Order: sequence, then C-alpha cells, then structure tokens
Amino acid sequence: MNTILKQAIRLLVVATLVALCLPDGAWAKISGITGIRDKTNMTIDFKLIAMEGHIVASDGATIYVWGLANGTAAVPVMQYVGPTLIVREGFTINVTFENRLKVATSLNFPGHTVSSSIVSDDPATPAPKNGFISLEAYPGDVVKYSFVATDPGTYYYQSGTDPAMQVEMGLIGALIVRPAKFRADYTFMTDGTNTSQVLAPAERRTAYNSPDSMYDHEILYLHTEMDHRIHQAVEANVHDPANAALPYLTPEQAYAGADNSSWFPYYWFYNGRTALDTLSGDDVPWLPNQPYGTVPQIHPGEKMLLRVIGGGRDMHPFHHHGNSSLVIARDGRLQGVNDIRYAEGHFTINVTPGHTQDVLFDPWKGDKMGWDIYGEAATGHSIDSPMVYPTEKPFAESTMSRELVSGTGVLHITPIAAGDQFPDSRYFRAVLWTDGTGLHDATSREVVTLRKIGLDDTRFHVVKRNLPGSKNVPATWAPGANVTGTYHGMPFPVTLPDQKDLTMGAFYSGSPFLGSMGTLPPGTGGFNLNNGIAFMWHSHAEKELTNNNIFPGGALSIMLIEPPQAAIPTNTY
Amino acid sequence: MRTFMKRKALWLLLALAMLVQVPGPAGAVIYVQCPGEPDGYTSDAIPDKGDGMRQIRCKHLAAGDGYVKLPDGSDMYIFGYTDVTGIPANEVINLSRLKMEWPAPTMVYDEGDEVYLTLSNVGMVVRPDLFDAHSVHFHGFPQASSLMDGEPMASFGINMMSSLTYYYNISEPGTFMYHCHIEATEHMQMGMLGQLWIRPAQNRLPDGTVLGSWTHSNPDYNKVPNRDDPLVGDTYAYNDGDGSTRYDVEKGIMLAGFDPAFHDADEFIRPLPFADMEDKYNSINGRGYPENTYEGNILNQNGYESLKINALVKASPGDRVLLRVINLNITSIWSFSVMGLPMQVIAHDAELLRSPVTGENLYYQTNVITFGGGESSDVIVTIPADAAPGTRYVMYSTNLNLLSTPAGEMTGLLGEIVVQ
Repeated sequence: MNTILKQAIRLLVVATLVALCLPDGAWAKISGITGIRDKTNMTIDFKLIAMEGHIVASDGATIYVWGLANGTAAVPVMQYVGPTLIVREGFTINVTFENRLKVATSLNFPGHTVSSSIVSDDPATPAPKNGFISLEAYPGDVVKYSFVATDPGTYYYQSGTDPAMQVEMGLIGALIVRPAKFRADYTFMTDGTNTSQVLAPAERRTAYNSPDSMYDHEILYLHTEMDHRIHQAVEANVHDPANAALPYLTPEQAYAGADNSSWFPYYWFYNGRTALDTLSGDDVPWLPNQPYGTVPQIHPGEKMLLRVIGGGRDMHPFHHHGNSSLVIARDGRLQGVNDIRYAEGHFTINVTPGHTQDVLFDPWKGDKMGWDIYGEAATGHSIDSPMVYPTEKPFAESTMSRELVSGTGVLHITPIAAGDQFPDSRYFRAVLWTDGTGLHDATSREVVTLRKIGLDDTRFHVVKRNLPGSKNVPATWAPGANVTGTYHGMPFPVTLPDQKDLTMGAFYSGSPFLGSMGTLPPGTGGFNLNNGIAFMWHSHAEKELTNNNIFPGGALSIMLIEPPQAAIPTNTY
Repeated sequence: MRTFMKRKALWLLLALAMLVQVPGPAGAVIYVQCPGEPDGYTSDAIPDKGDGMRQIRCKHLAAGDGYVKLPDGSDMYIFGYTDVTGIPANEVINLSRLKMEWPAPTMVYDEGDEVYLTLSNVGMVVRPDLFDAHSVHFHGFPQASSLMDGEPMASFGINMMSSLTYYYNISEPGTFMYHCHIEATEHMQMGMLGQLWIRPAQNRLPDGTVLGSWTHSNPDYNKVPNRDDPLVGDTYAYNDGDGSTRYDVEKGIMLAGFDPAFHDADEFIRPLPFADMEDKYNSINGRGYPENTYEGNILNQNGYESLKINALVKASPGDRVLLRVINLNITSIWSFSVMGLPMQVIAHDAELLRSPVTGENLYYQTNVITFGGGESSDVIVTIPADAAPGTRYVMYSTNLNLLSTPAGEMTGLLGEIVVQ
C-alpha cells in the first residue's frame, strides 16, 4: 500500500477513535454569550432579563432563585449563574436589562464606569430611578447600562439593589474582557501516527496584554453559596396570594421572614451547580436552569487559566490537586502591571468575596515522578513521538566534558561554562541513552544516578536495572552523546494491592498510566472516558463539600489530564 | 499500514496483559513494600541494607481510630494515623489498633528522597460497623499522579486489614501537609491530618559554599553522606541561593479544630451533622493550652500517648525561628500571629516568595497571616538579641474566639515561644 493511502487510513482510524472518545456535552471551556458586535461603532449589545425560577441542588432539593436570562434567545430561559458575558477590550458594552421579577432590581458592573439610561417604563409600576448603587428598574421596566471595557480581565456583574438579598437570590454572573488581539482558533494536526489539537499561536491566546498571561485552556470558577431558608421565605412572599394583585413588592414585603442576619450556608456552588452536578457538561437537559458545568481539562504540558471569582459572601480555600499554580492577576489587573513580576505561587487559592483572580495552573507534565506515567515500559507507546512525552532539556550539553572512568562505571561530567545547569536535587535518577546518536535504544537501557558533589562536580553512577525488554549489556557510552535527565522508561515502582482490597472511584481508569485502562470491578469507574489522569479541585473547607448535610456535594469538581490524542473542547470565541 | 496495525495490536496485547492483575500480596493482608526489605509480610519498613545510590526512605503508617484528652480532661473519639515504622508488618494490627495520634505523625523528608509510604488500614475498633477505606493525600505535591495522590474519586482508597504503598519522588522542598481524602469531610474532621516537611538540598552543600552574601557552614560534610546523619550545618527552608531562609530553630504549627458534636455522633453511631459543623476545640498541634507548652506526655483514657506534639518553641536570643504554619481546619479562614514579634513571610504554599520575572525576594513583614484550610506559610521570627531568658512570645489566632474552647477561656489556639 503506498504511503499516502497508508497515512490516510491511519488518520481515518485515529479520527474515528478520537470521535468515539469525545466527552458528552461541552466541558473544559467557558460557555457564555458574546452579544451582538458592531465593529464599526465598537459596540457590543446584550439583552438580559431578570426572571424568577427554580434550580436543583444535587441532594434533590429545589431552590427558588432570581436568575438572569439571555434576552436575545428565541425563548429566554432563566439561568443561575447569569450568562457569562465574553467581550473585547476597547468596545462599549451596552446591556439592556428588563425586569420580570416582582421587585425593583438593577445590575452593577464592579471595575467599570457605568452610565445608565431608561429604555422603557411599565405604566403599572413606578419609573426606573437611581437607587443606592445603580439605576433600578421596577417590574416591567427596561433600562440600559453602558460601559467601556477598557481593561482585559476577569470581572463579574451582580444586582445593585439590596445586593445582600438579591445576590443571595441568584443575580450574579461573570464578565470576561478579552485583550483586543485575542485569537481563539485551533486546528487538529497529525504527524501520521498521533493526532492532537494544536492551538493558535500562544501569543494570541492571552488573558491580558502580556505574553505572561498566555494559556491553552481556560475554565471559570464562580464561587457562590446559598442559605435555602432565605429562598423559601422570599418564594412564599412573592407567591403569596395576598400579594398577587400588587404590581410590585417593596423590600419589606418581599423579604419578610427572610433573615439575612442569621444567614448560614447549606449549599455551595461552582458556576451555579453543586457537586456532583458540577461534573456534568454544559447545557445538559436535566439541569435546564443551570447551564454551566465545571470540568477543566488539559493535555500534558498545556497551561490552564482559571478565572476565579468570589461571588458569595464567604471566603473559600480553593485547592487544586495535581500541581501548583501562579496567581497572575487580581481584580482584572496583572500582578506587575505589564508582566507578572509579583505573581504568587500557590497550591490553594484564597477566594475572597467580590474579588477576582486569574490563576495559571502550572503545566502538568508528569516528568518528575520517578516513574514514567506515559507507561512506555508497559504499553509500548512510541517514545520517539514528541507528542507522547514532553522532552526534557538535556542537561549535559556539548560544552561539558564527559569521561567514563574505566573500570568503575562512573561517568564524570565537568561543566565548562559557568551557566551550565544541573538539576537542583543532589540525587537525580536518569535514564541513560546508551548509543552515541542520542536516540533511544530499546534493548540496552540503563538507569543511572546523578550525584552532585558540590556545585561543580557531578558524577553518574551507572546502576543497571533489568528493565522490561533490556538486555544485560553494559553501558556503551560514546563521547559526545547526550545524557537526558528524565524518568522516561522507569517502571511503576510499587505493586498495587489486590483489587478486592481497594475501594475505587468513578474517575479511576484502572491503570496508573496516562491513556491506558485496566480492568475495573463492576460498578466502578466509567467517568474517565479517555483514561486520563483525574484530580479533584475543591474547597479545602471540606464542610463545603456537602449539600445540606449530604456528603459528597457542594464545592467539588474534577479536573482531567487527557492523553494527547483526546480532543478537548476549547473556546472558539 | 502493517506497522501501524502491529503497534496497535501490541498495545492491545499489553493492555490485555495488564487486565491480569500482577501477582502481588494475597488479599486482605498487611504488607510493606520497601527496597532493601525482602519479605513484605514481616518487614518493619526499615531497610536492612541501604542502597548507596538512592535516597530510599520507607515509612509505615497505620490508619484507624482512637481517643485523645481534651483540655477539660474529657475524652474525644478520633480517627487518625500512627507511625508503625519499626514494627513488623504481621504485628501492626495488634500493636496499633486504637492507638491513633492527633495530629498525625509529622513526616520529614529530604529533597531527592524516594519515599515508599505504606499505609495500612487497621479498621475501626469503636465502630465495627464502619468499613471505611483510608488514604494519604500528600497535599501540594507538584506534578502528582492521581494514583499516588490519595483522592478516591480519581483513584482508590485502601480497605480494612490491607496495605497500599505510595511512592513519592521528592523534588521540591517546602512545608506541605497530608491528610486522608476518603469521605474527606468526615475523616478530616475526625482528625486524620498531619504535617509534612521537605528539606532543601541546599542543607547538604559542602562547608564554605558561597550563597550570595552568605557562606554556608557544614562542618560535618562528607562526600558519601548517609541521609540519616543529623544536620549539623546551616539549615534553610528553601534553596534560596542567598541564605535568606536560614533558621536556627524550627517548629511545625498546625492549626486545626474539632467539633465535639460531630465526634460524639461518630462515636455513638448517630447521623453525622455536616451542615451544622462548627469547630469548638481549636488548637495548635492538637493539645489544649497550656498543656501544649509542657514537654511531658499526655495520656488518653487508655493510657496511650495520643497527643504527641506540643506547641512550645525554645529559642535563644538572636535566633531565627522558622515556623512552618499550616491550616487544616475544614470550616473557616483563620488568622495567626505571634505577639510581640513581627513575622517575616518567606514562602507560601511551599513556594518561595520570589519574583518569577526579576528573581528578587518578595518577603514581607507582617503581624498577621490569614489563610484557610490547605494553605501553608513559612515565617521567620527573630528573637531580639537582648531578650531576657524566660521571655514568652505567645502564638495565637487573632480570631480571638478561637482561644476559647468549651473547656474555658485561654484553652484553645495558643502556643508559646520561650527564650532560653
């Protein structure tokens, strides 16, 4: 069969496999609305409607809320949290706001200078008037808020009327301002063997006007809490038959019996859902009023941007398993103005009410674990493909002299240039490529230990390991060959217990290796379709991992590191 | 086509091969995996012979339930860990049941270590109806694998009367923590929480190494170090390269709390009150105050020393004291302060405060650090050179309500630095 046909069939087979592996419903990206954009006049128009409705918490409870609907949809559907508005730097954003609640309400856009105007006044209710914070619309009224999105970043919008009550009731949503030069496109590329997503040149997928804010995938974490007793009281007031004839309710009438001073949260939400509904994709039919899921996904080596918003009234310690992160921006401003010189490293993010943070999750590479999570030794994945294993920087460059001290098996490396880099660890295990060309020789792999004696004296001690498939051939080090610091090919270091002795989780693939599956007992696993590596991202105030006394629940999400061949939904706008 | 299909077939074959569980220990047995220990069924997790080429560290923790004494002398039921390194595996169940500690044993490792941590679930004595699994989550470990992360939705927990061995290739120094992640809200409230420190490789540089404007001193340096050698030279919190994280005295400060209603409900088989959870017995390192400034033992109702760690720091005038402060309460954000001494914050969440762009140190002085569960802060307090011996600096929470417990005022989140 000729080469072209070979490659075409390979591509077809792989593409079919990839398609079969795509997750149900959109995950991993930020769903939202981009409004109606007019590039000539540099405006973006939105229509939002404040509406009442119900949401579902994962313990089965139904909670009465005041949410927001996208007014330009054919049939506006109330949602909690409100639609995520995704706009561009420099545009004037016009939000037309209609009130279909039974109380006066408004919107507020922290971080922006807002001018407002009256669009229409429902004759049955008072005219819109300036409230304490914003121009307020009475039921039936329509007002317009305008502001210029002067600075890229992560923001939010919420009710400006009785906010302690109305934001609790659900009037909050995210606002994302993209840099003017942002580009979101991506393509699939194949090297003939492996297919993977290649994103737009990274310098165009940024959160701010700085290359320090480049990322590959992004996810929204809008934190909120609820005291459902307040919602019960408000629902009773709004739907009290005695109030049915009234055109609108005053705050006293609407909030009678709802005591904010004894507020106590029983539910915690990410993007409007409690766990384990957070694990479902966006726009699932069984949650018609809560369209946003929270399932971050990346491929190894990719950067993820977390847009973290404190939308409730409590602080939360948000812990992301798997790697550390960098807080690069706060409240829509880079920590360093033009770069990230004051960015802070974290493994737990402090989420503060009213505060937004942009957090870059350190690219997970699985490269320092001491064993090869890509399972090359076990699964036969090609290690020559650059997409399977991120290449480590060879730490013995050609400027260093190397000598294999005969008879001792000691490889002595002396750096010549002062800037030569060594791993910081005093002991560092490496796999030694034993042929002179630097390419992997599958049959004579050695494991060596690098010992750093002082700052300028580094020695390899060759420790032969009988790796699967290796012959007991002594290392034939050729002068000029590369030594790469990597755990590539290192076997899994321990034996797992008998399956009956383990209680397994829904996201366990059955195998330690990325992209591999193992056998699982009936009833376990099943949620990790691409056999990725899963990590829980959750509140570390574990009390918040409950839904009104039921564990598990609340502020819990799962992040997936997918094998390179698995497609990850990505923002196209 | 042939090459591609051959590779695919090979992959399928290997996947099939993996379907057959690699023969390991027979079901439901305590079994230690530690290089240098030939028989896991009887191993005491201390290698008989070291591997000169590798920094192997083995440890064996047992997980189960136990009791501690509260500041008012009453007894509180806990879940916890205890260190059974040194006990043969086949004796661990008998010798560790009902002997769990609060906090869990502090684990200390060195950068470059390969840690083989065996966790054995010895079951619940007081709750024979519970068959909870357990795990160890090494909180903050970078570039983690889900299998070694201890979070059960992504991997698994170990069932009763069985053992699971975790492997950590320690690559970064810092102040971390560990806890059980099975049914996390319950197990963490019940006390499965501990401290975990990783020492930097900089500690073991040769004597006379120049680090910026600081010269490292290590009089006992030898070229074939046994990692069990005590550190006699200068010690640092991180690989700072300039000596700025050097300390003379080190203390772990773990902030955590118990909700007595929750613990009682767990002891007496009642529904667990998650929604109303409120920590009332808050502490530094588990004991109440002033018991946590005594250096003696505090025994629980069974005569076992389950409260092994105190909150007393002894330092000399001029000393730089490193406080490795972690917060592991599961309900709130807390603030911590040292009365009379400013704290210099040098790292947060095991990341040195250093600019990623300019490389400058971003340490700052503060009176209070505020953080939630799962966060760590490394602070250095310097004892004034003219401090009189006997001077006490109180460590406490500026959330003053945490200083009280149902046992009374000034019995909770307090500790002391005492000048020698």
